[in-house]
Amino acid sequence: MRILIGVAERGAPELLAELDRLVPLSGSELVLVHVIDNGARGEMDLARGRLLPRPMPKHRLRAIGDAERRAAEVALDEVATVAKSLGALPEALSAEGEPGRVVSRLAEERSCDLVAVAARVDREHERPGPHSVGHSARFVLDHSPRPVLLLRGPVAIT
Amino acid sequence: MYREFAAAAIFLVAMAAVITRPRRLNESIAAALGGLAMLVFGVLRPDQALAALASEWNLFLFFLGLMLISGLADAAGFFDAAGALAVAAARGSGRLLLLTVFLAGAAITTFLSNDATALILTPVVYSVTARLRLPPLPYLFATTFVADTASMTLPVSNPINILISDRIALNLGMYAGHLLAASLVAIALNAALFLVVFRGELGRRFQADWRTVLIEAVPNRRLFRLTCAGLAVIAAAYLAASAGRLPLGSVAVGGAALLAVLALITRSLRPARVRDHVSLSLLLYVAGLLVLVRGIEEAGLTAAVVGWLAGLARGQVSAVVAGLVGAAIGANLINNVPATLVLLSGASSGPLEAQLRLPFLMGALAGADLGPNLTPVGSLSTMLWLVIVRRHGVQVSNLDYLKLGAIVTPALLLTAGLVIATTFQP
Repeated sequence: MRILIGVAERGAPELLAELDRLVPLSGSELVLVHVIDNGARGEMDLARGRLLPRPMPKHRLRAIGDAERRAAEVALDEVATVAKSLGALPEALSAEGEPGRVVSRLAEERSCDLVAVAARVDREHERPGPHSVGHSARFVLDHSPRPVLLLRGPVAIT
Repeated sequence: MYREFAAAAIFLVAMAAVITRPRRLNESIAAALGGLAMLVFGVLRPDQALAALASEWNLFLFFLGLMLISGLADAAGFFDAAGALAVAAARGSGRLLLLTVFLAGAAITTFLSNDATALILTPVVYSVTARLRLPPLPYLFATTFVADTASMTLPVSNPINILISDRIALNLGMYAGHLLAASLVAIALNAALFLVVFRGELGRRFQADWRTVLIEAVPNRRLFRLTCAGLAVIAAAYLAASAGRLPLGSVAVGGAALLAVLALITRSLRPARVRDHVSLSLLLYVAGLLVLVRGIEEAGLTAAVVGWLAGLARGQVSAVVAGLVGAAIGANLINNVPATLVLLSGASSGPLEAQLRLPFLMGALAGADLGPNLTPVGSLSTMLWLVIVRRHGVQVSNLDYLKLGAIVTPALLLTAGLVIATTFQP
């Protein structure tokens, strides 16, 4: 079985452990995808020529990009290690774009049998109910051509 | 009657254009065109417009100096170092990091103004949270809120404070006597409320080698040390000038020159880096607003607004409340700079009794400084902050902001208002 897993900066190992409880991962191919969200770049253009400083000096943008990439690498390494310890065969992918859109597209391109997403990132005690599914997970639920498993609790997808 | 109608119509159309930005029209152009319309439609004579601009030379110099100082300090790694120190002081606790970010933001706001915190510290804090893999939202909210909350501490913490202090000849002692305690209480309350509101997202611990972060942040140690010393000199000069009622704009420009010389000495002046922080359109925006408000002042409209608020002010305490509420509402309707200009103009020429003017304006200052936290349009720095965090994929809707603002801002305004009121006779 090939499973695509959305990996965020936080909580991905917990997501994997939870998934393994429901769908034993030993022997499965895992496509671990981390997406750096750049969906709001249009906002940046809006900001150009506004009042104070053209909002982001280039060196600052570079610093942020470096920090994001470094965090993505660490998160992917961390979750790949956990995947191997569970007997799975991980493949790590890093991308930029809107996370929900990229995850849905890759699920199709990689012919995944299942997509696993966490309902929300960052909220440790989110209860089921209105607004309990984050923007990116909601997009995957709506648009993924492959079956989707929505996980709750302190787990994460960007 | 024509004059009143024309002045009100021009002001409202210009303000609507500033806020809604039709066809991505730059706010400064909208404000400048509004100012020009005041002349074209005969509301103001050119000499009146020029007088309105000339009287605020100190404010223009201050804005210019501030942008240059921020740019030079940023090029020396000052803001990144502040971020690294906040990480070091937090000792691996996500909760403590919120407090240290608050403290760093409060210190930067106090001496380098609210815009430096909202615009420069925000991306630094974002980098820090990305690197530490912490949820960014509480920390990003902390920078934008503390930029407003701490902007009441000193006259230099917010250009609005200079506007008001200049107009009523307020020295540092009087300023601090009425506002310092309120500011410190507001900062502490804001931090405490954030710890409660974001309690579910701050439990993570992190490991960070802050020395590495600091070394990466500071490209040239000698320049960094000299810049820190220069900033300390500037801070002391601000305090001395506020105490002696000397123009703070000259201090800011002089301070920028000092930092530029220090960068030249170390052969590390990077004009491109500094230029990124300087926006002449900000000066155009302020100039447009000054002329616009002078237009409605000449038509008697600012006196009418303050006259209505003055009706609510029966004594000094209620005058504080009237100024505070008026400025906070005005800041969220038309942004805090124009709201302050309207109240200041009305208070100077309007029907407010002489002994109520100071409490009314102290309340207005607090309302204009703290009030913008209520909605995203309250202050320019907040609007720019939203753009910055959305660019980095952090999902913050205007509703999210409004919800947080609705919890925190009324509490801050109420507390600050009470503390300020105790500095006046009941």
